[in-house]
Amino acid sequence: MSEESTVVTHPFLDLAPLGAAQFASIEDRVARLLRTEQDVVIMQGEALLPLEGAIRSAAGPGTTALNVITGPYGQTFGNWLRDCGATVIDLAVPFHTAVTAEQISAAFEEHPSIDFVSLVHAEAATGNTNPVAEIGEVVRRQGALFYLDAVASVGAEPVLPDAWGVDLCVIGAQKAMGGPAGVSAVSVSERAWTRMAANPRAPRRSYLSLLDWKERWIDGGRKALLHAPAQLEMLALEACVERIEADGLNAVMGRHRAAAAATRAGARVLGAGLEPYVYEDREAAPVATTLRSPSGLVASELVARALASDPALPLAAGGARWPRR
Amino acid sequence: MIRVNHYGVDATRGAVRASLAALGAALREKGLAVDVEGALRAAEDAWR
Repeated sequence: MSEESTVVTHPFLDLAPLGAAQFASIEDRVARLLRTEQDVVIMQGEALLPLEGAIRSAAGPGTTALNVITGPYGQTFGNWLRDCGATVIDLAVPFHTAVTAEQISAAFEEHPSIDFVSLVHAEAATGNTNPVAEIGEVVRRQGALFYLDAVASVGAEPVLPDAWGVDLCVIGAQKAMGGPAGVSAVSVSERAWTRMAANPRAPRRSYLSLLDWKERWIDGGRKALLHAPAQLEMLALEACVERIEADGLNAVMGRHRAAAAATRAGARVLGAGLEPYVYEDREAAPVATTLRSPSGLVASELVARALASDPALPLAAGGARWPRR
Repeated sequence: MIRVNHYGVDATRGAVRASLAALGAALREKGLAVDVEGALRAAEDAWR
């Protein structure tokens, strides 16, 4: 028996190398999805990588950050910002609501030194979504750097970094895009690059570093990758962007909007005390619908019973409630 | 809290209907009165 005949391959194995040109092409497709002219960097890890990398790159001891908390990720961002030495002003709103542009404006009036704003667009865990376009107008007027976590919103509702004045916009493909969780992307404005370059504490020669990608990948004409890419994840990202392009982004977003509206309407009629966690339709995220479990029932038990009939149903128990005081 | 995810291919009428029906059945097993048919009609009406 020849050596060749004993080697068993698999669709995931023995892949041709994913080169710089293909990598750059996938970045360009992600940029088109976001309608952005900014640099888009695809980072080789789950979205927490660019989320943390962007904060550590752009914030430091001289930063005054307005950290908007509308769910669990806002709390995490505040912790990173404090760890960077930034002065952090937390603006927390109940998790079943959204923050308003007026609240952001009031925070700037109270703290004129704010030069960085962190916001989560939509929170899958709580099912709420924030009016980023309106907030972006306020942030732009004040000249602060605008950092947005759009992981749960991209593909489900419009995400427009350029139109909204977002300087750092992080996306992941694993939610509405239906893609892989192992790679993620961040769009970076020119002034965000400038802020990072001036930050002596910005990670350099580090896996968290955005500047490494700027200096060694983008400024080099995207000819040589920093390291071997996560090949399977990159191919899956390319496939899921291709699928969205084929379906049309508006159609994909429309399906998410319709699914959320239908779920909310159905839950209200179902009865037994089940009701949407986010009361206002306009504050409900299209990516996931959160429901209050009936009084006296444990959500995880209810979900387990529901999943017993079909384990593939997109149901989960848990999420994040506004802390009771 | 209960979460109905609408990720990618789960953003469909079928996934929404199946999720509501399964939650309704689970609630009924707990002895609670539910209107599954009404919920499915409301979901269909709201699909837009």
